[in-house]
Order: sequence, then structure tokens, then C-alpha cells
Amino acid sequence: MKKLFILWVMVTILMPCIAGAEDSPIGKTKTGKGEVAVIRGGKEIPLGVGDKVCQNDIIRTGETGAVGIIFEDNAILSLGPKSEIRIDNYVFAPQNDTFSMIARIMRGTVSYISGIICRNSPEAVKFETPDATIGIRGTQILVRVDGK
Amino acid sequence: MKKIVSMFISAGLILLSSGCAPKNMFVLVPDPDGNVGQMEVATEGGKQVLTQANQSVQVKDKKSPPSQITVLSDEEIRSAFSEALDAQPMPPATFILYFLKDSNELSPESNALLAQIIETIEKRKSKDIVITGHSDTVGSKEYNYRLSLDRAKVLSDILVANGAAADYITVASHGEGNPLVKTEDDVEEPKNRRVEVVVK
Repeated sequence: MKKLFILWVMVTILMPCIAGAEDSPIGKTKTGKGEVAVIRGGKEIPLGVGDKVCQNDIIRTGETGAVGIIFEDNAILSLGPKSEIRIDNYVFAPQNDTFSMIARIMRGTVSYISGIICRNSPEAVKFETPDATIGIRGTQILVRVDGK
Repeated sequence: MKKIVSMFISAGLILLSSGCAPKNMFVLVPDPDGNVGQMEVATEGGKQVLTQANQSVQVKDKKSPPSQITVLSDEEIRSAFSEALDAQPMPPATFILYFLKDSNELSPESNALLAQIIETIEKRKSKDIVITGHSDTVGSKEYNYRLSLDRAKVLSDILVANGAAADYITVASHGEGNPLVKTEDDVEEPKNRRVEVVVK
């Protein structure tokens, strides 16, 4: 019984990022209003202010939702209502000279202010939309994708 | 009279823009510090490179090239992106501190920053403080990783002693991999021998 409890505690502690993500959090939410959720490991979980964001997360806002995130490299991402973005690949390891920020904007409005990744390795930052790909050399971009 | 005409024109513009709203819209804007970067938008049909403030392109579908570049007014940008812009978190505050050479002691100038850092943490009610050590390129990568980590740890201890909550601090090392001034290998550069405190 005790073992089971310890297992449960471990799972609960590890759960926030483990499902579907390789490793640790890559950023945190700093602002939020309305309906904001993350789809992680196939499950939809509400996303509150101060919560962690992980690789492979799909972040989704509802009719009146909006959310702002600061990533580990100090890049700033915010979403307006009815928006959806998937963080496909995020690597911030300056000590090994490896950087990557690849995300797919499915729909909605997005603002992105680049951070240390883009300063060190601009070609590592890429956004995709259903119809286009975006490369940036800093600093702030706005993207709107009207869903079908 | 003039007013009426301009009213008609703006009403016409609104109709026009809502009548054939583009499916995809991309805008390059100045960041909170006023810097303008560059954005390349590509489809299977071609690409456009935006380099000036408020330049914008639209994309109809994946086969067509992006539209001609237009320059949007601040109002147009605001009306298309107000909610995403309002959700933008306050940019993190970054403090750069230097140590005396070959020592774990802060330089006098950097010592004076400590009070400011504590004040910023309190004002923002920040629970997310990242302390990262950096080095120049003299010595091996591994050595510089360790050295930078040690200095970041020292600074973390100093901040905690000055009133910061240890639970909210993350200590990291970028070694020689994230310089302020880019140099060749094995180059002494005091500006790169630093610890950054980022209050998010």
C-alpha cells in the first residue's frame, strides 16, 4: 500500500511535463485570461498563470482566452483568442551550442518576441502555418491564421 | 464635408478589408525596445522578406506566392492583434554582474546592483528568477562551464542572503556558449565573464 502511495506521489510530481515530452519545462505562462488549455500526452489540461510549458505541448485558447509565455531563452510568446500553437522542437543549450525553436501555428493570432536562441542562431527559429513557413532574424513578429 | 468624405472612405476601407479578409497575415513590428529585425515568409509559390517596421504580407494559400509588401498603420495592427498584444508579458528584467578577476568577489559596481535586483523581484512579485554564469573563451569548454556555474551559485547565495527566496531561483551555466561579445576561441574578454540575473 505504502509503495503504491509513493508511486502515486512520484507520478503526480513528475506528471506536469513527463507525458509526451522528453524532458524539463521550456517556459512558463506569465499572463492568462479566459479559457486556456494545454494538450499534453493526448490529454487536455487547463493552463493557469505560472504553469510550465513543455516540448510538444499544444497550447489552445478559447473564445475569450489569451495567454502569455516567457521561454527559457527569454523569448516572449502570446496568443489571442481561438488560437492554437504546437511547440515541435525547443532546445536551449548554449553550453553545447545547440539551439532550436520550431513551432506550428494552427490558427488564431500570435505575437513572438525573439530571445537568446535567435540572437545566437537565427536559423534555428522557425514557425510554420498551414500555408507558409517563417524564418526570423529578430525581433517581434505578429501572425494571424484564420482557421477553416 | 471633408469629415463625411473621410468617413465614407474609412467605411469603404473597412468593408473592403473585411470583405476579402486574408487567410494569413504576417507583420514585422518593433519590439518593446524599438528594435526591428527581419522576417522571411515563404510558400511553395515564392517568398517575401520583411525588413522595415510594420511591413506586412498576406498569404492566400500554400501554392500562391505571398502578397506584395504593404505597410500597416499602428491602428490596423492594433485592431488585428489587440488581444495577443495585451496578453504579452512584461519583458524580463536582466541584470549583468561582474566578478573581480580570479575571484568569487563581486566588483564594487556590481555590488551596488544587488539592492536593485531585490527591489525588482519584490515589485514584480517574481517567482521565476534565473541566474546564469558565463565565461569568455579562454580555457576548455568544460572548464568554463564549471567556472560559470560556480559563479552563478555564488551570486545565488549572495541574493538569498540579501532577501531573495531560494525556492524561486534557478541556477544555470552557459559556459562560453552565449557571449555578449562574439570572439574567436581563447580570447580574453571581460564583458563575457559575467553572471546574468533575469527576473521574469
